[in-house]
Amino acid sequence: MYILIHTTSQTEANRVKRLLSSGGIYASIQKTPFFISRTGCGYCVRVPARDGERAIAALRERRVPYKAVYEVSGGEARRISS
Amino acid sequence: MIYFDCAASSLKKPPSVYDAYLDAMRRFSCGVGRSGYGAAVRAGELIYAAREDIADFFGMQSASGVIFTQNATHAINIALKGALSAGDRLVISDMEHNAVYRSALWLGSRGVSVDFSHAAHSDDETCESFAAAFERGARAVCVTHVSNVFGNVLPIRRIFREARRRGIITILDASQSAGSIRINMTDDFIDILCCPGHKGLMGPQGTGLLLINGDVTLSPLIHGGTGGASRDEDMPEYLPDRFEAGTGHTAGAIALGEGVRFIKSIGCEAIFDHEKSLAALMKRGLSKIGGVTVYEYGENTAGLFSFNIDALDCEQTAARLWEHGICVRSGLHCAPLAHKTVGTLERGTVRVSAGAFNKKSEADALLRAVRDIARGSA
Repeated sequence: MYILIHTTSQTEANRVKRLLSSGGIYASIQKTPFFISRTGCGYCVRVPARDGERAIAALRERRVPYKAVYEVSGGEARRISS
Repeated sequence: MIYFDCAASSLKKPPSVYDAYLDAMRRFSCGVGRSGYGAAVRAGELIYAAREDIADFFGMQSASGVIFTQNATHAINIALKGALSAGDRLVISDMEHNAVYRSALWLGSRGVSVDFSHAAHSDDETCESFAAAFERGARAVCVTHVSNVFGNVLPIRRIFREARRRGIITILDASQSAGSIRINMTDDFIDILCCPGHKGLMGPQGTGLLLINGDVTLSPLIHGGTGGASRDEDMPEYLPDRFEAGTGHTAGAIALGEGVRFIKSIGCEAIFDHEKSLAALMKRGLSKIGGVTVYEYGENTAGLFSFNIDALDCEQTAARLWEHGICVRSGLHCAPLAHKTVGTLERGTVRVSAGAFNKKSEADALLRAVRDIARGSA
């Protein structure tokens, strides 16, 4: 299980990654899975499930925009924040 | 070869720029901004790092407003054609390069009224001219920071402060100042800044910047794929994707970031002082040579200027200087408006533009060469 932070663009994905990495959260950028990206294409940031809440709190605190946050497990995605 | 054509392009780049460019060409000529494999993602990270450093360098609120373009002309076209439509008024100075002038005239042929303010010798007079134009109402003002012909520095902070007070979009053409004059978009009331990457910022040719600071809405000039929101029929609203359709100049963007880091490490002020002192040295020396006219214009000047050997056509003078191994630019410098303002439209000028890597010995060599040429042509 892991967390995907869906961002508007690759630029925003990098911004999210930088912010989270500076806070000690391991984050990596990947293409947004098609079942999440309804508009097609785009990038998201993956973080370990254990860091999900901390990541969301950091983004909100710094007012970094994102589209939504998903908990992904076995090909299923559950939206946990938007 | 002695290179005094830095206003056209900086010939020498920091080693880090060459290294970054070649490395990116080798490693990242791939699906950057489109694909998800390691090289594509890593390139995206390096491009983002460049955006962050550029945003910091120009005092911007967000790295998302850093848009990579082909050159300053490309950026200026996006800014002007994206901001103005029929019925709007645009104010420009009478010192503008054709990038602004021709774009403004094109807009004028499509229902935008264009108002020309006078970039005078005196800053107060310049500001008064702009204030009078603003009084008549305007949607946007676009001004060159430094004339690419005469090197006079326009009082953009004063002009833009007045424009901001009236809700007018402020657009700066920083083609001759970016990298050598400290610019803070937030403090200097600049909404949009356009500049090349290959001049003072020491990046590769084929790079430029459109910097948008704050909430300015522009229509895109070019439509196409952005690597995101592909099912949307319109271009995305968010930056920088709205203005970066199509695969970009990955190596150029990464190398431009290195150029900016180099300048940050030295400091704009040091570069400006160096360029200006070389220009002052050459202007002083040329003024003492009989049959040579140096054109002085404006209260404040940067590291470039124009002159003529009175008995020679400007193109002949430049050709003769090249016989001495010296590179300068001659003609109208794509800025007929500036020449008309200063009175050199009918004969053009020889432009000398110093850069961060020029040496005093090179300035001395130019003076010796002009002295020889002027003596021979008298």
